[in-house]
Amino acid sequence: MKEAPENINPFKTPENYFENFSEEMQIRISEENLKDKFGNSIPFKVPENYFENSKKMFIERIKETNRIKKNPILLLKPYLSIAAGLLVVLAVWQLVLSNFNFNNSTLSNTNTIEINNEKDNSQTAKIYEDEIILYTEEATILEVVNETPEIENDTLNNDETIDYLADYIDYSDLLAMY
Amino acid sequence: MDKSDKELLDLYKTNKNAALELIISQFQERLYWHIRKIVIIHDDTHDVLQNTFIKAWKGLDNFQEKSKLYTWLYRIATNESITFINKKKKKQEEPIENYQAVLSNYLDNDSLFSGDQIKLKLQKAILKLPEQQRIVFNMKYFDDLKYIEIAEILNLSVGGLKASYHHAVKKIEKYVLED
Repeated sequence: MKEAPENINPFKTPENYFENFSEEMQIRISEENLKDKFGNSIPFKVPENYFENSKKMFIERIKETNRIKKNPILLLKPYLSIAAGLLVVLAVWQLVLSNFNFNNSTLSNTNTIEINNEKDNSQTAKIYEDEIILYTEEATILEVVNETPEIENDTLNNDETIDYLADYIDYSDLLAMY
Repeated sequence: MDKSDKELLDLYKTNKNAALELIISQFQERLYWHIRKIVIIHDDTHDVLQNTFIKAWKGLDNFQEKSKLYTWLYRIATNESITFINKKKKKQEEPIENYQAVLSNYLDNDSLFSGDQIKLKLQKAILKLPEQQRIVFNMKYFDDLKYIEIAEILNLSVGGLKASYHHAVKKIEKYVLED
């Protein structure tokens, strides 16, 4: 602070007041020139009845915000909708996925069953084949015996017949039959 | 007639809805023009003003009466305007530094601009200023606020404000003379 010369007056000025005074005056003059030339009224306007309507809008909006603040569910409302939507999508996805898996497992079960069946069938077929061959061998032999006039069927038992035929029949004929 | 801060705050404690109506009635026009000078476009001003009142209403319980209610609201409005402009700059397709030019072009065809060519010239010159200088210039030149009030609103020192205003006035003079 700068003291006033003694015995002149009891007042003081802010620090650097006189040093900055001329600069401040320059700015004031520039400002006044601008105001003289351009004025200092605000050159904008608002739509008709804007302030009457906006007041109602602002009050409504703030009351709405308060309602949301008091009821957190309202705040979560948009997120709940999104969450519900996601759940539906997940549920549908799960459904599609499980259906796809079911089809796959059914398909693989079917394949397994078919493979097993094939396996069973081949085993069964093998058994049948052996039996058939066995059966056919005896049956054929007997048939051959019955159809051979030189053999007296009544006088020979089966073992004798088989022994006889073992030397007599041509196996290549039998094999060709199968 | 305007109510004092004390009357408004007392009313707020007893009847919030009545206080809300009074606060909006009492301050909306002044705040609107303050915001409009910063963001320029009416629709943007409406959005910022709405945000200002919502923010103020939410924070009124914590208002400590260290400053005037009007100063406090002005500060919220200024911050909201700056935040709004920064968001808009990022969203626009033009480079950020072209935002002032976009606003300047907007003024040419703004049906809610009521000034003549001379006033348009001044507004375009103001738009060329850096953001803080523009805000300080508007508050001093159009609203005739005192440095100490502006300092309180913008949370700046009076010395810094004076320097900012001096630079702004010099630049405006130069822009106007150049054109």
